[in-house]
Amino acid sequence: MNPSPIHVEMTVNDRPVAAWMPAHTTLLTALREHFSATDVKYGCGEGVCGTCTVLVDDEPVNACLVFAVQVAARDVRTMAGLSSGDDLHPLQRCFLAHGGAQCGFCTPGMMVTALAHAESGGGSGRDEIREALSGNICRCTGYVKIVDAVEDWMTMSDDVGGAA
Amino acid sequence: MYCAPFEYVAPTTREEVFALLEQHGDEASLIAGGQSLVPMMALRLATPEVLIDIGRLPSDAPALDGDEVVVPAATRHCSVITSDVIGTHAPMLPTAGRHIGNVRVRNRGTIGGSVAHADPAAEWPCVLSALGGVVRLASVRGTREVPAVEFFRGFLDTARDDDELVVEVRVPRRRDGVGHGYAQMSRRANDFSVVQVAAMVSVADGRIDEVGYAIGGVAGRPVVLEPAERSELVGNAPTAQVLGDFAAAVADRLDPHDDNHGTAAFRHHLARRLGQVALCSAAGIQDEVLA
Repeated sequence: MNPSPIHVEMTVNDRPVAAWMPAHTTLLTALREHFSATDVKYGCGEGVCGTCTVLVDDEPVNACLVFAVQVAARDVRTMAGLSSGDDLHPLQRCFLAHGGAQCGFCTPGMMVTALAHAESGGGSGRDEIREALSGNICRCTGYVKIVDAVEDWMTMSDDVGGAA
Repeated sequence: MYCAPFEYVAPTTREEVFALLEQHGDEASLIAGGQSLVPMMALRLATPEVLIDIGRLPSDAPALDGDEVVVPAATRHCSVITSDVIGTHAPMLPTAGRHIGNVRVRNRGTIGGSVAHADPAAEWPCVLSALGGVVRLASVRGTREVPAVEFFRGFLDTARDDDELVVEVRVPRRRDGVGHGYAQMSRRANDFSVVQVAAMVSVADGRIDEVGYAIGGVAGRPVVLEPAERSELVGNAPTAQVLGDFAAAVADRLDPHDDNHGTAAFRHHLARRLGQVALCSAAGIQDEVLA
């Protein structure tokens, strides 16, 4: 079977992008292979680990469980969209300050999940942060430092959703 | 893990969906949020040749229709949880919905997709069965409503025909004097439940006059009460003792399975305890055993 390719357009971190791709291309593959968003990582490929989390119209989704064509014309944000060059977002600085990244593979998903939690009005209590991050798996067992980083970021500023 | 190739179509009207279903038969799969289907495709447990994306069909918001709460099939889990209409008139739905997957799954997955998938560990089949809900189906042949207790037939098996589309689910609006309770146990936060119990208890003049009850995770589909079993509770005052004894008696008649999430004995235990918790919650009384 050789289905005809589909032209998919979307916005990635405020950048309009477009490419021809087979329909079975997941958003994850489209971001990495077609749209140069290699900050988004392939974890399990079946929606279990949260590693490939990106924001579609500001809502977290598993990029491995969405076909790119399903979110054509939508607005996608990834961790790389947080920083402006070397000017890191406060959340990223908190991850650095607390050692919230060890091998770093789960970090992109952790960060955008935390960002969406805060932007959607989620609370800054540790239990609320742990619940929000509960679908993001870290195999370096760094959860305490990750929660520390998010808690610090959420309590340091009233405007947690603000730019760097 | 990558999906097998498929042809993709995104109809914008029900009539187009019906025509596509008729044209492609069982070579096609419908996709809404895809949170159950895409993992199966990634694992090559499902290899549809044609994927019919129903995510672009117009959909209404949840609403009241007389004594029923109507939840359109395309309603995402996150929207069920935050809907004022559903929260006010069918509070079991948001309570149970918060247990579904994690925030990513709730943002994409839909109630209609979950119902059509019919995973025995899923929340909506158990909830609809306890509340006496119905599933509304549409096809070129017309529309029909199937009671939830008949719709769910077994493991990933429903009364939906290949040419039919799940278009909405309906549950009775909660009357005064009726309480909803729901409890589940899962191994990890937001993981699939091992056992779950959904309970509806109606009390008039201090006596139970109606009960709805369903247990998930102990068979291929939600286990519901026989009429004779329902009547065991009717006429009693709702106390933790009465409700606990009832949950235990129902649990003792179950024949659950062993698997890597729990033994049959553990599932028996959960059905007893979660049953008491759900019933006490529905009756609005303190569950002293848990407290």
